[in-house]
Amino acid sequence: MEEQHLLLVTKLVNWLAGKPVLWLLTALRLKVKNPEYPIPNHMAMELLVFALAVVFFLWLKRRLSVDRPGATQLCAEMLLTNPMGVGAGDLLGDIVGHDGKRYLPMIGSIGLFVLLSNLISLIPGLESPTAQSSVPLGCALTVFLYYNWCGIRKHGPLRYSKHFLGPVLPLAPIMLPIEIVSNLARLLSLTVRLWVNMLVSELLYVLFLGLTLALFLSGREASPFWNILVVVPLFGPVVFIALHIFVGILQAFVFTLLPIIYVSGAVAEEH
Amino acid sequence: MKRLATFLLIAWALALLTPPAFAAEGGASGATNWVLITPGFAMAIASGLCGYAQAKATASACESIARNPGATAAIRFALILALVLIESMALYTFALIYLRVK
Repeated sequence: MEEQHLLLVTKLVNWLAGKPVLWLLTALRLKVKNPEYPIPNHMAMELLVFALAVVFFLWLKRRLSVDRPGATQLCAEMLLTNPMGVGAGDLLGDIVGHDGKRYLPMIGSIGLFVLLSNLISLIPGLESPTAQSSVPLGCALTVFLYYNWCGIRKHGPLRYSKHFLGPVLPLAPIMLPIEIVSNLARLLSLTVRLWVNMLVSELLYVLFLGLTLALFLSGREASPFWNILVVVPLFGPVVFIALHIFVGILQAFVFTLLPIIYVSGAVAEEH
Repeated sequence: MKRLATFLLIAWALALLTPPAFAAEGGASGATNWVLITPGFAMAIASGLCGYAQAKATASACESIARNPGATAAIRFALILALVLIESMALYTFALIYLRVK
């Protein structure tokens, strides 16, 4: 874990911005693990995902058209509304209500960022930034601050903090700690869920590659005939890449759905 | 065919069993390393209970879809949410193990 393999992207980003970052980290008295390459892999991958997303969506925005939507535009619109009702726009409309579209820019961006980060490791030579705990933590912190801010903006600080006291005032001393802990637990659960899912789907691949390789090697020692077993380590673990795609999309969906539920809880009118 | 199956099983078992055997030879003396043993049980309990809970959730979702196919979308939504929340219990265990056992 400590000795990380440096990606090409990391080297490029470090070549571009390594010196100022190193200077900044030293000025802040932070310990730099690898002074030669101060920007780690996941940070570089985050920047890459961000840059790719910005370039892609700016390009898409320029060629948006109502009369002749191309295939790309139709696919991108599926992320917003689709017949299954699982697009970000659909969910906001269903859960938050008619003014749900106000929260779309922030929540859609986070969902898309998570989706692209999860899926980018399918390209050889790149890795998922979300498989490092600090990246999901950053996304979860953004969501946490965002829904609290939404609640404060909608109800004002006083009425929003009354939210935490529960429905009946005499029960407030019990409800307040419970509410605070459960809100902080959302932070933890969002982080751990995304991080461990991505980590596990990578670990599974490596684990089964190792197992099948051991099988192949021990078979080859027994007799040359078992050389045909080479297909097992070659194609067996590929199943787990399919699993990774599924898990990546599902976790991105969850990371869109849960913030929407939190926002709807924060801006809900009390009855 | 049967020979192949037997060979595969034996090879699999060997691949699974050899690393602990080597490890036992290497560090034979000293106390039992509980940090290496407990995660297995912790993960087994967590996965088992999560599997049970998810199975219950899925089973009742299937039943209710069969009874009322019109409500499929709402049920699917609730099911995915519930499965994700249940799954994260096992993931917490795994995260603890991962952070504890290096």
